[in-house]
Amino acid sequence: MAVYGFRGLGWFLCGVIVAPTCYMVTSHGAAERAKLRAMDSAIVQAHKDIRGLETEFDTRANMAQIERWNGDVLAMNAPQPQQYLASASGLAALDQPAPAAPGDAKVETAALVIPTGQRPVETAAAATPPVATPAAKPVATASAAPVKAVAAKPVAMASAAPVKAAPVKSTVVRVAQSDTKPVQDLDRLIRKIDKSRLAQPDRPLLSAATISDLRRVAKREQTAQR
Amino acid sequence: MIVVVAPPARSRGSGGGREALVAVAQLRLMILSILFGAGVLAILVKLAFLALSAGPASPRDLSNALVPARGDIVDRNGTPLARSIDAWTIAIHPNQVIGDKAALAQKLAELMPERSQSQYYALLKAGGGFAFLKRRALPELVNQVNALGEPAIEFQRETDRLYPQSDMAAHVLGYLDDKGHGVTGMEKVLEARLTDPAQRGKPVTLSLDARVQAALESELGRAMVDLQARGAAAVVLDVHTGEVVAMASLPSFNPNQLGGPPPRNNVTQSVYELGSTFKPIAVATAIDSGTITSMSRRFDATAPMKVGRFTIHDDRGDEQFRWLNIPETLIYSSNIATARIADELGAEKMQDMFRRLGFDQRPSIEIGAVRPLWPANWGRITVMTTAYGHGIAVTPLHLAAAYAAMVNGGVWHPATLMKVDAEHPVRGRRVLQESTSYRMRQLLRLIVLKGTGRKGEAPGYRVAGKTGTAEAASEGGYDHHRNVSTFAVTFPVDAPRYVVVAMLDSPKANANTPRTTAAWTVAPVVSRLIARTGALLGIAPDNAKDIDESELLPLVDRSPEPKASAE
Repeated sequence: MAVYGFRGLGWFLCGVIVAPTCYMVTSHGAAERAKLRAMDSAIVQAHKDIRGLETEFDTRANMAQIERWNGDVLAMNAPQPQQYLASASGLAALDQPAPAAPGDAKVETAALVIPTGQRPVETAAAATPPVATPAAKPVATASAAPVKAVAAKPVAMASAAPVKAAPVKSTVVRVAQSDTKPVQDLDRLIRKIDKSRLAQPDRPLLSAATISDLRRVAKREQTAQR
Repeated sequence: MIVVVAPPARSRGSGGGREALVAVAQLRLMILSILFGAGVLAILVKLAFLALSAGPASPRDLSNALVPARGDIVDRNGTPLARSIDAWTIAIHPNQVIGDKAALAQKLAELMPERSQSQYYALLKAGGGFAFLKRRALPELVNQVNALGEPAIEFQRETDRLYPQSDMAAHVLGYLDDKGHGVTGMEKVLEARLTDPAQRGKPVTLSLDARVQAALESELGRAMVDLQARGAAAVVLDVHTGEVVAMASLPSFNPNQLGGPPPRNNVTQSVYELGSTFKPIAVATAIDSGTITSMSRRFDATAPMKVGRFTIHDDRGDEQFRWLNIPETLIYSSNIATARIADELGAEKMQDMFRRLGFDQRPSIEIGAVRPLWPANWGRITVMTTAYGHGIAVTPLHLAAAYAAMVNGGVWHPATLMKVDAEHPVRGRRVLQESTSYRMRQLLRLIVLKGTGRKGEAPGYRVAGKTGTAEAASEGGYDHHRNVSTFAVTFPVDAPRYVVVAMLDSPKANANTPRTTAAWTVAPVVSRLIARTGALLGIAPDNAKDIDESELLPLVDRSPEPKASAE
């Protein structure tokens, strides 16, 4: 009979402790699974974002834009054949003084082919400059918005196209003009740099709290040594 | 049911009638319970079927989310040329507008100035159910419009096609229509492949090289603007595989923003009489067929040649008035001497060679192309004029493929825009002997070293090629004031890798360019292009290497240097 009496307690324990525990295990499992799914979808979202950002980057830095920057600021050109060395002996010969007569300074700038990227030959749409609106932007898409300065550029070029025919600029002239530009740009950048982030001599590098901490530690070490 | 099952007890009497009634009632109950049981069973079966047949839902959805609606197109190095993106679309339900319509129209006109305030107001006033305000809106614009707080305005994500390089290679890529189907170019050719759910996850690799393509378009565009040309075309072809590394046609268009029908692709959809660039083909035919065995053989170019009612004469300023050998014929670009060679060659061999080079059919390329103008009858005069590139009109791509076959050892390959790999093997056919090909390389190099192609030389890259200036064909004759200037070259000539054909349609002279011949107009374009991209294409410039010209130099050295003004 006593057993029968305890039987009720057994059922009670089962109902109150074991079943909720089992339920907790399964619900914990389900929660973990849900977290996993959330992580998976976050990964997919991140991949999508990466793709979108990549597209935006590619669009902002497309070939025509890079070439325009090259013409405006960098003025880099393709390496000349003399800059390629066929063999080790060629490398060794680099150091030797040139056999050419002294005095004839070789200025090669005129021959350099510097990609400057003036592309006034645009589409039929861009050929009609009065539309000085977003219509003339190089690309107008959701994820890829050209920066404002960039967007203004093709418009300016398109409108400058008819005027251009008379004075033909040669590469040499462009080089001479762009000489001062990189320096100016550098100055502008330096001015832009956040001054607060730079270490300044009149301000202590460490905060007062850190200094006092250090002092306290040093004092303790000194007392310990005595 | 209840009415059916419930016994109509009161009407019956007691005894045997009542028992029968109970039996009927039990039977009815039984049938009813069986029906209910069957219903429950059907539901259970259906549930089991659903549980078994349906797989886990989320993983498949996740993997699908990364597959673009339309496959990407990339260049041979993986630079994206066309991508699918999710763009914002701003739409409005005019009949659900709550606020003041005039004020809303004014704000919309401020934010989106494509349309005027009155146009917006008319749109709102019309009260339709749905109208697009702007497709491909920028996120900033979406934020600004959202800030207006008008509940009738709806923002949607829409799959859209973006060409990150804007109008670069637009003629090759083509564009999509409103429904997202390719209309021209590779978008049309690859339509099935790009939309196939199984394959669209992987990008399609074209044979183009974006860096070379950009340089080509930039140089060609510069020349076209400087010289106020009507149009321009250029193509860079790999001589061993027929891959098109770059293909440019101007005027171009921006496939991101198409306004009106795009201009045609001058490389494949326009035919031109390409002039003197055909002379090396005629000479190669003569050498290959054994008509000419010695390079020192001379042809009479002392006076204009009369054939029937035609007179073939050399270009003014370049006449030599003497007998010319083969290298001299090409260097001075003599029409008379070439005509004499072709006359000796005959119509049969000439036609045969042109057919083998595919000049009688559309250029073999994936994108849309036109048929060349093949002469109807091959009389003596036709044979003579076609030898110097008149009377037969082909596309610049035809010429590039022919030059590739002429310099690569004599094997003609169909041009292709797909990257050549194990998946897309390339089959060629022999059109010239290997020895002829080598001789042609020597001759072409001589033209750049000594002849009309000197402005096309790029230091270190061993350029070899032929200029060609033809009078532009117009209504039933030739326009003497318009030229089609072409320059077809290969580099490096000691082991040819690429052929470049560039063409300017009707360039005008200016202060820097006193003449409109190819030597002054397109040759510098090609020279600059090769100087810029030669190293990118994997060719190290080397001033020490060159093709062996010792056999041919004695034949030309004694004559004075020609003027660079020649064709």
